Amino acid sequence: MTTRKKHLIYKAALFLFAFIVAFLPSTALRNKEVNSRVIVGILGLDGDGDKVSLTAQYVMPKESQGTTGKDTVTVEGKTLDEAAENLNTALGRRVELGHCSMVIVGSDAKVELLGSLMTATDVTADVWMAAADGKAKDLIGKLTDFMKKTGSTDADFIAYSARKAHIATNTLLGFLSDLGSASKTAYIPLVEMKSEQSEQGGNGGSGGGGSDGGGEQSGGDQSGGEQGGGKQEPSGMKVEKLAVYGENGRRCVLDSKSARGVAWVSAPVEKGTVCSDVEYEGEIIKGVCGRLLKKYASVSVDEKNNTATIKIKAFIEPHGDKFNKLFAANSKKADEALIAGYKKKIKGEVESAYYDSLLSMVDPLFIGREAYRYHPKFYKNSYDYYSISVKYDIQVSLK
Amino acid sequence: METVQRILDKFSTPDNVVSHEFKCGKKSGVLIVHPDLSDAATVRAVIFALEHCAAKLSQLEDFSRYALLEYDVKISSDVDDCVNKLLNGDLLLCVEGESRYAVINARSYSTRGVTEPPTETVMRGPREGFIEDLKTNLSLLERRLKTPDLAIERMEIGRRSKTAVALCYLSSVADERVIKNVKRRLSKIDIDGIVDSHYLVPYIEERPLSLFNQTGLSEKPDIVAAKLLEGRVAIFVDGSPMVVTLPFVMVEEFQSGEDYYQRSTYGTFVRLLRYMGLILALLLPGLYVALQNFHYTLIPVRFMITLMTAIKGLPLSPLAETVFVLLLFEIIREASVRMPRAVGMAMSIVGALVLGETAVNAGIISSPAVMVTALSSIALFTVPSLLGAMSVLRILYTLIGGLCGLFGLILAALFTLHYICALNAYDAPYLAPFTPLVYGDFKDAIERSTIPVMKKRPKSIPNTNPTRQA
Amino acid sequence: MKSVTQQVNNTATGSETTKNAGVTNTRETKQTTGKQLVAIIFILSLATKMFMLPVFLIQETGRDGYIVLALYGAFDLLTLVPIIIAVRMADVDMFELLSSVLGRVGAKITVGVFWLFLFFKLNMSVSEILTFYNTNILTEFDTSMMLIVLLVFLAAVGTHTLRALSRLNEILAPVIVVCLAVLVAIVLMTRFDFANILPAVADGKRFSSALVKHPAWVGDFAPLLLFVGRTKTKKRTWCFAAGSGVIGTSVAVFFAIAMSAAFGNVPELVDATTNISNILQFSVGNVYGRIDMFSSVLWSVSVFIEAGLFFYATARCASFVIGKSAHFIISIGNCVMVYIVQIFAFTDPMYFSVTVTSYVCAIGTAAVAVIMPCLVIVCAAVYKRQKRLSKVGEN
Repeated sequence: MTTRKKHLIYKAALFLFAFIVAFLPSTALRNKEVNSRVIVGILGLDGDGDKVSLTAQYVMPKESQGTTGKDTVTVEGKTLDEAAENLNTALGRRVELGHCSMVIVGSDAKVELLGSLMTATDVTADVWMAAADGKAKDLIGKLTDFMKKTGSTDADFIAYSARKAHIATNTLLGFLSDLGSASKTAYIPLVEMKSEQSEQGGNGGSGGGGSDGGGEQSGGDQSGGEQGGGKQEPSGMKVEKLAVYGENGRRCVLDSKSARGVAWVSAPVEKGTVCSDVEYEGEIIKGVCGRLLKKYASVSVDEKNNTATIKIKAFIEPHGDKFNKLFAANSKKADEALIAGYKKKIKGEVESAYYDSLLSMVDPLFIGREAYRYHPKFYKNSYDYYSISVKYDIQVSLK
Repeated sequence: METVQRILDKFSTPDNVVSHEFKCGKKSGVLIVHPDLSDAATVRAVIFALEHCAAKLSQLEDFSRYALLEYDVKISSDVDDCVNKLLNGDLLLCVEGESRYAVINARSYSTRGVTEPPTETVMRGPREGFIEDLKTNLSLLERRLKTPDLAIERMEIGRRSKTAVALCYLSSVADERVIKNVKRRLSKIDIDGIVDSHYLVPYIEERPLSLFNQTGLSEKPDIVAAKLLEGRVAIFVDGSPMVVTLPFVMVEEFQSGEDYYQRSTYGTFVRLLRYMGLILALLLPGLYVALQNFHYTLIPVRFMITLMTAIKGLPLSPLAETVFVLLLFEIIREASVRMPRAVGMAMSIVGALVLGETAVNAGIISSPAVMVTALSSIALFTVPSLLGAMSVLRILYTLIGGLCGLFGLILAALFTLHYICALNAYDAPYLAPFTPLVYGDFKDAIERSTIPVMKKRPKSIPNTNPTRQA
Repeated sequence: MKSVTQQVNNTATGSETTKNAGVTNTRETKQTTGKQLVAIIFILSLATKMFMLPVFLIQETGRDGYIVLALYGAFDLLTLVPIIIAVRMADVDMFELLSSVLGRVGAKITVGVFWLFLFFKLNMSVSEILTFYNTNILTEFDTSMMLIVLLVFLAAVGTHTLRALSRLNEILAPVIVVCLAVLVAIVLMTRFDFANILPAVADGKRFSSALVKHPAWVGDFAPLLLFVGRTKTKKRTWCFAAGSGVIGTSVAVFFAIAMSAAFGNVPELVDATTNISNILQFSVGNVYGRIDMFSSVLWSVSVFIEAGLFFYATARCASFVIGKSAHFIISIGNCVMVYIVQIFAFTDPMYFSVTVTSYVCAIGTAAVAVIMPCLVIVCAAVYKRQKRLSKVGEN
């Protein structure tokens, strides 16, 4: 390369550099800096007639390093876009929804809103979903109080449930995908707050994976406590029930027994606690608990016999003093009794989920989806969720 | 005497040289000497020897044959050559009736002792370093490579400085084309003078305007000897302790002499650290600014909250702030290098403590920006020879990251990598053995294998004898 | 012992110097190595196929996008075969082959058509890059400015040698492989519901419509014709080259399957902001921090490399047609043309999709992708025969 050419190149490079330096700031620096943003950790979605209501729990950095303050704000709009824009105005800064870790859906929110939430805003598809019994706004308010009290910084408790507890969870994309499937059904775990008074009758504030019996009781107590009036301090959360959605919105709320039944069939749920009554030598021993180590679940459809088989294989590690007593007496017999007890328990829960969903005309066990995947013609011509007979093949292995 | 006059006429100030007249037998003679460069004792000894053997001396050749046996004597009739020799410290002997000169080696000038070079200190390993005397430097090398294969080709460069330059290589190992190429480039240099080996570097590099070093520079004889054994060529310059080695590949920047004097596992670990350090040093400030300006969603939420707390209320934008801190660091570094040692210490205290701490407390710059710059700068020092190139690139990357985000940063990194891939001096691919892939050379690239495993010379360096050990 | 000493210390024997001595390919006219060819085939087989194509296909077909992509991949692998044969057969480069067989004018016309194809493909990849970064990572950033930054890199590629580009590709290939491995591992570790791609081809009409509309994405291997006569290869290079093509295509199909599974039920949600980073969000949830996002940003470097290769090929073809080797000037000219096309034609995504999915573009691209390698093979065979005959004549 001649020196002249080199000079030409360097001149061109310098010109280009000058061009970029001169013009880029006008476009690039228009971009907002991180400081001019408000991080929204939890977003609540309510539908109020024709209006859309958005509630945001936002995080404010405080003077001392790393600590944050939390607060909530609620805005309304005719459409989701409008509400999202109003949120910016209400907070005086642009909201950063990319870090939103949970979306709470109120009982009257329309499901179409969730689709537009994913496409029209920065909310990512991996955001966890939670359902509120009533308004999402109320739940977020209580949740914020509770988080302030415990000093927790984010809302990862649903992620905890997804990995460690026996609760079927869903992400935004997962929810929309389920709803768009042949079953036209999707579920979201229902989050309830326990108040100070209701705790007396409750089971001690375990987040997700507690035993089922006590949970139901405490739920009842809570509603009673709320009716009692007066400001109540939130003392814990309960994630035991499932809100099941159809195409038109929320169809039903499955109780904790049916919710566990759905969790048995949900593939990502692998952990949790199983408690069962065991019949041993004619005597019924109540509440023998075990830890679920691993499980495989599948649903298969037989188009010839018009049957669906729900197959579950669970590996459970029993523990606790009741199990130890049984085991010490006769290990083989104890194992058999335990397996029978667990099988009965699992089958009961799945059956309950199936029958409850039949009543509400939803399919959270995704039998229709399986029929469509593997027998599309059968699904199109002769499949009927109500006429198909469901069989259960439950296998339990003790570790 | 006419011969003496011819020499003296060449000097603009003839007083610089001294002429000693003497008689030996029937003939009279003159000894011309440069008192600053020659040994005074030699002059006296030469005159004494000549007078002692006066009877036998009739021709100029007889002087070296009978009287000056212990001296290195050459006969020359070229006046310019003789003047040159005189300026190198030799004595010129002129005898009545002779038009020629006898040149007697009497060079003597003070040099410093062989000490450990400050640029390449080691905890273990040889502590000898080259000095400013070519003869001493060559002897240091020859002591390490006692083989007749060691070729030392001497030449003079610089019309006025007449600097002695020595080209060293192992004739059975180094590639002939490389040697020819280096010689061709050296012979083309037409300059009035060179005062250091760095003067030669732009002449022997293929891309002298490049940011990256394309020649190796070392002050240690053990390193130069090892490089010659790999097939490289070394250029010694009189008056410079820095020896230039060629061909040069980028991996050499990450190699240190000490790597070979430590356990190989630790050597490998240290090298990995250097590679990581360089990537961190180069990309961290740019990435920090790009993430803050454009891609907050890529920052984990807890870190983002900490960041927001730290930068709350700062007057400067992330880009301006980071560039400001980077420039501040460069200024402090430059100042502490230039300052005398005692002041330099105070300088760093002022720079690090007073400026940094106060600026953060005053809310002008944020502590994450200071931390990022500090981390990046410390990481930069893991590869000291790339300090210059990387300091410039780091600031450019920060600007691009701040203006164009990850998109610009990725493209800038690709641009730089592509440029380095195009470097190809002396048939040695600059990024070898990474690209083109040379598996054999990986033994001494990221990994520092044990010496017995490195049986072959690196393929990346052109050579004619691949086997190092049986 | 004597022989060992000789080997180690003294002047090496003649056979040894030629066999094992320290030489890389830098001295030879053949600018690239077999390993570099293998690496570039891997990158070309997946870059633009994984980038935005799955999005367009899923929008069009729903859950059958992966089948269309697999068919395109298979088609491209078929076009790779003649290219590999051509690289193996010829000792001189493509331009010389075409000139010696078709004559100067014929060769220029052929290369001109090839240039059109390459320029179109170049603009496609540039447009994809701009769309992705503009809607996903750098929203509210001026496209024309982004384009200038990209064109600076492309101009550098066009000015430098094929050797430099091949080396760049070789050094980045491991990074891309590692990023893809991370993404594959995350997908596989998370009980991804792959069964959601069933039932296959439920809607035949949409499927065939997508298949016919998108052949503009085939022909990714065509710029490899520039490697003909310039690649130093070994015996087994051909197996590795074919293998890397198959593996790269499989990786692209794997991610297309994952994406079809994630968005199969809700194809209306897929848009330019959704690429392979989002498929993880389907089942994983935000528990992996942001490693998946970083991996997806890093693997997308392969698309830059593909664009670079197309730019290089375009610049060289243009320089052959013009008959001048002023690479810098030609690269700048190329950049200006790309800038004009992008700003005035392709900035509007509607216009882009209408142009790219038009039948003319689809048929033209597919035709050149098949015909050009075959033509080069024929020319190579004729050239060899001519050479043999002239040798016989001389004897």
